[in-house]
Amino acid sequence: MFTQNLDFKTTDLDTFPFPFRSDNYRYSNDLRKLEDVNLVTITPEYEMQVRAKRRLLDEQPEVRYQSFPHTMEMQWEFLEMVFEMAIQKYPQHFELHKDGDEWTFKNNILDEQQTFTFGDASTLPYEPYDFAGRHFHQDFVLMVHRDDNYYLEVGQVSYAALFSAHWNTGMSFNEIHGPVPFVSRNGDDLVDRIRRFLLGINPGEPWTRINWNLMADRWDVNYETMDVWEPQRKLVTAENAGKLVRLRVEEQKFYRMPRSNAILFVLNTQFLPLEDLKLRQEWFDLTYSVLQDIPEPMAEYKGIAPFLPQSVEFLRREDEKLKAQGGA
Amino acid sequence: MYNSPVLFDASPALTTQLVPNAYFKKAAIITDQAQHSAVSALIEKLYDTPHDVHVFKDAEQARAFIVAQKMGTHFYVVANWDEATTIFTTAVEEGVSEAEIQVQLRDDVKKYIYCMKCFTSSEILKEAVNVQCACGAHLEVGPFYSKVRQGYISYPFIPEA
Repeated sequence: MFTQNLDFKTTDLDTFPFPFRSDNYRYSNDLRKLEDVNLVTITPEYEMQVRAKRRLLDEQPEVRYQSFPHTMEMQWEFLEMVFEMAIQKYPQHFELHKDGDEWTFKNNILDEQQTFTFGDASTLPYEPYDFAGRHFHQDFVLMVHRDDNYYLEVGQVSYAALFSAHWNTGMSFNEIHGPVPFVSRNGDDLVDRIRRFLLGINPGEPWTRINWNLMADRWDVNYETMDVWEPQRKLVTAENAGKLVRLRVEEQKFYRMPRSNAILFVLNTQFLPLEDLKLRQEWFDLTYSVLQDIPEPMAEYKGIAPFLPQSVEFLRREDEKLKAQGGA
Repeated sequence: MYNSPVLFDASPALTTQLVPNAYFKKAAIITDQAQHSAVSALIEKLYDTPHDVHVFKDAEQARAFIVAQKMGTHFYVVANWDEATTIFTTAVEEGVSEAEIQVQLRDDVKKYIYCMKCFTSSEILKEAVNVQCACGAHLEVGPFYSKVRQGYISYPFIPEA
């Protein structure tokens, strides 16, 4: 039975990718070069997140993991890349021993060890991409470059925001973003601009951007469970929004895979309850300002329209309290 | 290939009237009813453009006819939905692009929804807004189509009592 238990939030605020830089927000091509090219990060919540991710993958395997049979070579390329990054950055947590094609990967945090034959998927308990992805808390989406576009051919997604690996498999970058009211401040078609930008990404030079959303008492929202989470959004009030509503931030990283020429999307999703925004006054002020100014089409697309007013009201009340304390 | 064109209710290939394409040197007409007025109207409009007519019997005969055509041939299909779908799919499998095919239906277009609960595709009325899947799920019909899932997205909901 599929379960959602949102008992996770970011505790190390220094690693939280706070999304807002100004007091209003519109879609923009805010891609920038990634400074730390190593995608592996171990946060205080690593073990909890990985275990929750695995539980979701086991409960809804068809929803959360999809691949085409012809992607196996790309999957091994992914496995090799992330395992090499893991041992390079965290040799105390991960080990990789190679004896020809006989490899042994150790995850010392989870106390796990797996020996397998590189290139032989039958020696792993899951497909190579699925197996490797289960050792890291991010979502991984592999978009294959074809006909000047990218097509989703492998996806492992456990933190969906109106997304489904099952539904979106095989779709082009433009098809996936079909529902997005993507217009920049200049009225440009941002989806196509970003697609064209991604065409120019080189191996070894990954890029990054930050996406954000609000989540009402949920780990994720996908199409398959819409009948469950859609009514829940209406339970949010100004009184409980501080605990139930979380600022969901998705740190997206884009890697050109050197052998397959595909683009790997790495999505690091972190949550901060609205009540925790007070821990950083600047974050509180920016979030309060941005949420007051969200255009309706954007609120609808992001799925936050049913509980946005209550969230803003919660922040307004908190703002009043803070000002009263400051003036006292 | 999973992202090859498929015939669905909003396919660019669908037309209510076949129109000769002047950029092609030959016309290949495939129909499940040779005497249909749409076929004779098209032939009349083709003037001196060479054309062949194939009367559809099964996919393999249609495939042989399609494969025999040379580069520069435009395909025109006049058929019922099920036959048209078979012909279209066969043509795509043999390398014909969507820009090289026009399809005029003799019956109504069919529309399919993909159930996000039981992961099956089923036919629905074209104007349907909400439907109930055979699995029992209540579904709102969405606007996005998947070539892989061969249906429109559905949004599950719990109907008000």
